[in-house]
Amino acid sequence: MLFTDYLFPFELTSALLITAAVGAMVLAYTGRGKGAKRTQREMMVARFRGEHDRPSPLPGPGVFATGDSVATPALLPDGSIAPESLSEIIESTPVAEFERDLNEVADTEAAPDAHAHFGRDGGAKTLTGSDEHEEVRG
Amino acid sequence: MSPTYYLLLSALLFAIGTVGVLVRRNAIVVFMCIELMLNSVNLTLVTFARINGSLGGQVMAFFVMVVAAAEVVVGLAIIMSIFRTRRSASVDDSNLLKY
Repeated sequence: MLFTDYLFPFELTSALLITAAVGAMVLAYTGRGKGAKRTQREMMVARFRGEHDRPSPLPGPGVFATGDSVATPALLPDGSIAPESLSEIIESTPVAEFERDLNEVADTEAAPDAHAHFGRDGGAKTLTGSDEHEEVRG
Repeated sequence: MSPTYYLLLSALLFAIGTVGVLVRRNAIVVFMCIELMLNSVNLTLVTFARINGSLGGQVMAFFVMVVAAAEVVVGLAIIMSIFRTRRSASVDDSNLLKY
């Protein structure tokens, strides 16, 4: 019956459905936002012209070699803490915990022992062993 | 088969839909009430088609469903675009024929 008596209305429904789909797309389409995408060069020029707060991105947290946590703040070249690197939603590590790192950056901490990876006893044994070997060879 | 209960249910659904369209303010709820009315009419059509033993009412219900689908697609798109510009889905707020 749908394909005999009501064939023409049935075809009209197909046209109606297609029109509805296209109309919904037209109405719901928002476009690509405002303007074309900025290129990297335009972005850089705009940054250095002062259209943004600072030319560089914010300092990332956790730049100490001893900790890559977000709670660890970044250090400025003079050893002070960069306030922009502190997260607003995460409680930062207290200053006392990276006192040693601060001293290392400020060059007031004693330099690490160059033979530290030998260990106290093992290093001595290795050294004496090599000495004996040289004596035998000589 | 008595059509009484079917027609009563259909009338009830249609009344609910009408009251919803008249009372509610949210455009989406108004839309759902319109769908309710359309489907109550579908129920009536199918009931009478069953009583009379012909398929005409069912075919009519099919076409009503197709039209309802198209209507809801376009209507929801319109509601969405109105909501984007006016930040509101209330039928009272859209009292202008321009954005």
